[in-house]
Amino acid sequence: MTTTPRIPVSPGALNLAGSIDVYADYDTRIREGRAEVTAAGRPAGALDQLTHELVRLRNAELQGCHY
Amino acid sequence: MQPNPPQLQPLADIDRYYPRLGEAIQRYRALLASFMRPALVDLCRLRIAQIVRGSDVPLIDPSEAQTAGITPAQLAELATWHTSDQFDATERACLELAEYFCYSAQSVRDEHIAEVSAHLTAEQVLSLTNAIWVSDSSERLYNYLESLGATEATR
Repeated sequence: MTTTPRIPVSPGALNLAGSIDVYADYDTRIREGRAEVTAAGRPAGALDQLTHELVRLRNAELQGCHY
Repeated sequence: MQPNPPQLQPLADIDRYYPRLGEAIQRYRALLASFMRPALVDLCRLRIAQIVRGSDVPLIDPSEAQTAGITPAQLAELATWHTSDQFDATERACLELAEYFCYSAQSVRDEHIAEVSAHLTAEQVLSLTNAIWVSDSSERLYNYLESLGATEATR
């Protein structure tokens, strides 16, 4: 699995975590809407913060994402 | 902004348990669909629903599908789109990406994105990918909620 962006991204476009920011060059509503869905789902679950973060990191690792 | 996408049953259950999440999903889908032909987003959403929930489940009313730009023939042949002549090249590229993403995000290859990119702009590809992500996530959540409902019903 590649971790190289498959759509054009400006060189040096990094997010707060230091990963390549594939959203940087595109309509900001795409990123904001995704964040809204994620934020709405977070309190919906019954998981504590630690378990939530462990699951998130494990999922990121499985998918070859930087985190 | 494009017309509201047709409603699938899963959101009814997500709304029941997590109304704020259901609203956020609806808003995001409508936004993403506004970047392209809405039928592309809805075809992918319906195909993912078929894979996750089973292709024999009636997922949508045909009249609602037509509102989104999906023809009755496409709706009838969605599960067999590989061999159907009802889908154009853009729709086929999007459905192929959706199926691989649904199987496993890791199974998506450069050639899948290249094929989609032959028909869509980069911004549309980013939007489509997020639309597939939100459909995949919500369908799997639906399955979980459905099992919760079944458990509650037997109590």
